[in-house]
Amino acid sequence: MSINLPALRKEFTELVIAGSTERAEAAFSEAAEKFGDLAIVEALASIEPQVTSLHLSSFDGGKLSLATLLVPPKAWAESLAFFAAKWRDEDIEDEPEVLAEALFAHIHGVVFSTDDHDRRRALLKACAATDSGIMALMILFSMAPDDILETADRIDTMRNYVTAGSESEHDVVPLAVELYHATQDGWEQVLYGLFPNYMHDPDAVREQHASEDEDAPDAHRSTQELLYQLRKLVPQSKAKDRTVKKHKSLGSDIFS
Amino acid sequence: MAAQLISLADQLPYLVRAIHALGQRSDYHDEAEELAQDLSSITAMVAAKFTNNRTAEGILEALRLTVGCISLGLAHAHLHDDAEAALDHLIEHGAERVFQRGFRLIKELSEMPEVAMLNAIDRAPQEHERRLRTTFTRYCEADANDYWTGYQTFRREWDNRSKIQATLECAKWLRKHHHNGAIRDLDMDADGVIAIALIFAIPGGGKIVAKAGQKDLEALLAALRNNKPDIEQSWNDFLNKIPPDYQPMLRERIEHLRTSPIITMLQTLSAKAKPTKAGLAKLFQELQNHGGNEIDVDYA
Repeated sequence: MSINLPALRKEFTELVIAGSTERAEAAFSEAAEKFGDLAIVEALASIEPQVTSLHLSSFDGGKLSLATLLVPPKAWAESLAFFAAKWRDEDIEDEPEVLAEALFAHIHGVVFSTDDHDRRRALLKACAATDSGIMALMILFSMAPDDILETADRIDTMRNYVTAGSESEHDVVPLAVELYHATQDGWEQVLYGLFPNYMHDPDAVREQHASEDEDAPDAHRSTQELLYQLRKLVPQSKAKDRTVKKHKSLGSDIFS
Repeated sequence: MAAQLISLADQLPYLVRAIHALGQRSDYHDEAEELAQDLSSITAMVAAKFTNNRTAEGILEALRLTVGCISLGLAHAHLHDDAEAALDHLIEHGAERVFQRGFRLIKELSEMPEVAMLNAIDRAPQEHERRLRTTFTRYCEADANDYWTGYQTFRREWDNRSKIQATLECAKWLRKHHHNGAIRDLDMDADGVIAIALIFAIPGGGKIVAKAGQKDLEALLAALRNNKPDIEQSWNDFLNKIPPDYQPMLRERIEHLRTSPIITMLQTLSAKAKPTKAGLAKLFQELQNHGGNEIDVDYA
């Protein structure tokens, strides 16, 4: 029996859009049992990223999903671009931490759902290859700027031998270290994005960050600012290949 | 005769009826989508240009104007008030073209005179713009859910203004052919010019007088006293000198003038060898009633 991929894709898409993540997930496990995991990977790779995003965003570290485990890195990275679509102004304004935490739980959940190092790094690499991925990572790191600065120090001295250190650190540190191992470019982009002056003058940034003067501006960009930025990156549904209009538009010539 | 009852649905704005007709067709998706897009973009442009595209009120007003203007364009296309035909027309030419046609009608109407007067202000460019705006909002405003009489109103106004325009043109012609040289004033009261021309045509001979004063009036009385002209014959002489386009309108005016008191006053005063001052003053006053500003009040 061969798998009917378009049918599975359609069923999955419809279930997700209808808000029934459990049943979408059930459809997946059923298909996985019948046709093997590869079929799911194939399906996930071809589903529209906003649908994938909608589905994945209802799972985090706490709940495991077949899709989370199997989503191809590229499909996941593309779906991240839509994560911010649901954020409301009030929420960004009032509780940026909550949104950042949810984003963190999601990324962390997907990346660390597997013990497979190659997959983790492939996921992070794909993530760092998109603008919204970089922005999302910046948001996560902006929750613990102290730890990120410290990690940057350790990376400077230890290079490839760096590991996530003591347990008192924020949860984001292992992710940062993992990111560095996955892609050094990506790590630097995120770091320089978070601390805009870091590339030119790391010492000044450290000084500014350590300063206790409350009026001094922060050395790093705020979580809130970054959340707004990420939401701006949400791709707009473009007016795609509509049927060619019968009439050429006159524009303001209608008043002539 | 039985009263004819026409349902509201048959009297809605023409565009709305065409859209209803579209809803009755079996496969209307593509046309409906294109129409919806066109209509919204037209509404947006109308809001930006004439109302206010930042407030809901402004956009709603723009929507009403759009409905009215397109309905006007449709009505003018002579489709026998048939919703199906209107829909075909709309699909074939696109809503934008139909709107454009409606708007051009409005533009033409706005360039026609509302009153039979000329003055310098009318020629200012801002005045042009202002008239276009008021004409557009006055004659295109349409409620999508209510009786629409926009086209009749438009036609009536069109006819009115055509008459006024003809009056103005006739008066201009008379001024140009004034018996001792064309009159080149910027201001003009067309009804006055015509009345004067007809009154001063009474002595006969087909003389064209477009502007007059006291002395002209005295000369008129003298001519009447000496020649005892046949008024009807004089008017005929006068009409023969006028281009045929203006004659029907002038005949209409003559009908009114024939029974007006000024004719009897002229006849009684000219019968006397020497009219009294009071009589002359009264006559002059009466002349002013007809000629308005076209009568020179200075005794010169």
